[in-house]
Amino acid sequence: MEELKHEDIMSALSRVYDPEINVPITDLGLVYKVDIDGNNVEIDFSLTSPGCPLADYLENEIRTAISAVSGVGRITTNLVWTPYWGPELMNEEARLSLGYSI
Amino acid sequence: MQTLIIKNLTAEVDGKQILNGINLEINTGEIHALMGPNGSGKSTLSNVLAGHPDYTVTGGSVSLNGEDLLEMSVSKRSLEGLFLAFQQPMEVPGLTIGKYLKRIIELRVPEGERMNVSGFIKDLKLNLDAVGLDHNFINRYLNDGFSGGEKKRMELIQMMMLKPSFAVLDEIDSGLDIDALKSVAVGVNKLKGDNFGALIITHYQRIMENIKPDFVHILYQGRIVKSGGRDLVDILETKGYGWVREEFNIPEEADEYQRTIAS
Repeated sequence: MEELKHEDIMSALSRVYDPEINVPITDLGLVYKVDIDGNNVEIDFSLTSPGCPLADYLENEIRTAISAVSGVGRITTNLVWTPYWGPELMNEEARLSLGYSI
Repeated sequence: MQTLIIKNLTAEVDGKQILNGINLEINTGEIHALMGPNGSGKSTLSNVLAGHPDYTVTGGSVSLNGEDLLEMSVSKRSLEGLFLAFQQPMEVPGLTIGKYLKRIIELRVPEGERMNVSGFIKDLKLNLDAVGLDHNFINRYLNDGFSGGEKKRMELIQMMMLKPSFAVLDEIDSGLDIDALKSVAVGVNKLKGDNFGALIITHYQRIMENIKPDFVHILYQGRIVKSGGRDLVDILETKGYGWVREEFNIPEEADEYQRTIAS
């Protein structure tokens, strides 16, 4: 069976949007870690602020997106707060979309 | 091929008739130049095409690919592929060029598809290079504190990003130095091709050296009195618009009158 690739997981995650600002979570820099162990995938992700009410929604979306990648077995998601997210973690695409300088 | 067909178009502003029956057909793949003295109706034509609410169409028709352009809202005209470069674009402090352009492109992404933002940024940087603007313009507020030349180049950037089927460039060359003029030509020539048609409105001959129009029309008192090839530009250069008046037996007073009501 084909080996799971980091880029396939990232590509799947790039289709998960923060629904409030309509920007992919990967562009926002909210995906902190993608670990692949055989068929199993572990994700560390964060939110733009601790009060963000989207935790459950995004976790669900992340799981759905990754489970669509062929060959994925167990999925573990961890909502983490270190480092604390800041706009400097956004890439150029997200910065432009939100009116930050690039 | 796409078509923009103007038939017997008459229009007025403030109750004064400015356009007296314009006939013009533009196909994609063609660059048309519309020349004429002050007050001949050049800007009225571009405003009517864009749907400016101060201008009232009193007769005739304009169709874009067989559809009635004059019935369309301003935004619909834009979404259908018509672009107007403003003579004096508005300044919008607080809105970055990057965000603004991204939004207007996003509006054109087919439903169910997502915009390719990284490709967009790449294109934008290439286009800024082409017209000689620094990449940092992406972060600046739209037209805010821009020089005249920068504003015109910004209009060009919008055109290059939108890739309209038809562009109306209203005096895009006025107030420009030679370098800025060349940038404008670069922008137009970059889009030139089977999927792009342009109407370049000007009263200077200079821009024609850089943008080679396929057709040249002379607008006089709200009518196109003469159409031809690039040689018309040379005739105007040497003989001026007085020649047009003589050739078509237009009394000078009428000219003055027209100028007064159009200004």
